[in-house]
Amino acid sequence: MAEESEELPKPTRQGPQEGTLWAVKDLNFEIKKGEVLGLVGSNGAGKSTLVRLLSRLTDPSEGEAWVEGKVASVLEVGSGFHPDLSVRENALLNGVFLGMRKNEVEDRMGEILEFSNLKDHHSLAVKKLSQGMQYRLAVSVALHSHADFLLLDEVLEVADRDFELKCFERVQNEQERGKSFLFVSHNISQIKLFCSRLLWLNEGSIQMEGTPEKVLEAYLN
Amino acid sequence: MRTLISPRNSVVWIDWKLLYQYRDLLGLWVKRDIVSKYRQTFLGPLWFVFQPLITALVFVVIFSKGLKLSTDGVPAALFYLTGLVVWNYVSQCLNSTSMTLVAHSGLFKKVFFPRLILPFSYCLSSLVSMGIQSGVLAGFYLYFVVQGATTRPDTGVFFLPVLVLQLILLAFGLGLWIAALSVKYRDFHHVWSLISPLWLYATPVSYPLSAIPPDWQWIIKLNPLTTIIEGFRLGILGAGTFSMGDWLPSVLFTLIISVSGTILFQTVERNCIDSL
Repeated sequence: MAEESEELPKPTRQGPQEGTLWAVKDLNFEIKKGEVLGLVGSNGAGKSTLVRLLSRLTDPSEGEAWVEGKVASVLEVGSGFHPDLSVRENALLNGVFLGMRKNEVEDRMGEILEFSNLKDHHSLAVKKLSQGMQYRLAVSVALHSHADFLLLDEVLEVADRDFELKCFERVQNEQERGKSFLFVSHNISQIKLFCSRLLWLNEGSIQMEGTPEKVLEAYLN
Repeated sequence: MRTLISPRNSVVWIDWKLLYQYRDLLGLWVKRDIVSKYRQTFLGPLWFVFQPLITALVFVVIFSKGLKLSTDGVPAALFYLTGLVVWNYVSQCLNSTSMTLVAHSGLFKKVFFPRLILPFSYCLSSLVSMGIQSGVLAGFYLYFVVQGATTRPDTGVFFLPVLVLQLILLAFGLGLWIAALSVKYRDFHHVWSLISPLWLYATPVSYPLSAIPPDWQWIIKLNPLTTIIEGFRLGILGAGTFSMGDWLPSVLFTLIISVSGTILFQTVERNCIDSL
């Protein structure tokens, strides 16, 4: 599995012109099988644009990227949730939005409910759950997706310590099975914990690429 | 499976492969839509019973008793209810389909999935209320027959499934057009709220096509809903003006509107969703 992105600028309605604002430009990188690539950079550096491009939500105006296998991306926790549907029904819907078949989600339903600690509440309407429980459910579905490449855009930011570690364990297991991740976060300790390699974006291009220690040292100073 | 992400053409065609991959979404979204409509309302599905009954009552008082308009020899209540079942379906579909992009802009911005599934699932979930209203119609039908009315279904009743299919496609296509135009031109839904009631009166719901002077019928027949409603009434009530010569142009119109609506909707969604 590999992604290579070259020159992925923000599309404009008229196409690129002189003086166009490029959200990202001249990017060329690869994510290997079983790797957790972290993406850091200040606000407006182009992280989200890059994630949107790789999620096929925005089309590049130039350049291309190749993705081997299935992609799933989480840019928002609990997309498509409906408060009146049950935990189970919402998990199903959310999983299908992540590109899974219904029976694939059903096969993993036990694990998903176990992971989110909602086993006893599976038939409860989601609106009866606390914010934290809804969050856990959504993250749990995402981490149980069948995708070979999972993009997480500031998804684990609000996880408590216990859940964060649980997610880390899950990500690590999935990584060992060959799944790749793109991990966007502003939480430095999470980046240190999760990522095997870092990409520092600055004003739409790569400022630095390398081990988390090396890049973070430069990034934070 | 290898996916290439690259600049796309400005016109977006139908990606059948992707639709097939996400086919489970259709049923789930239909279910979500039905649940969101019915749970939490006091009367639930009963609204779909009252709404056509009240409209039919108004029509009976104004058009049948007041203006003495013909109802093709059918009991007025049955005549209006049959037309309203069809009209309400179209109107309900257009309401939800045309709002797809605006109501779910968050989802469209954050999740990748074949966009057409959402509007299409609204056209399917609206069949539920159409079914409920057909039940009401059946109840009244039985009542009038027991009371001695001579109204009976025609063999055209076997043709109804085809007309229902056409109705779904027509509502889907028109809904996509309105959805696309309301995203591009924000005030379009105001325009639509003006056109919609006019369209109702340009459709033979409150009057039969046969009440229009023959020289002027062609104007009403330009409306693709005309032959559908007349076909419904011919099949169910045995009274209506339906011919292949009238129907085929309406089918052609339906196909054109649904294909063009699909392409327009996808293209607009692709290019304008960031501005929502």
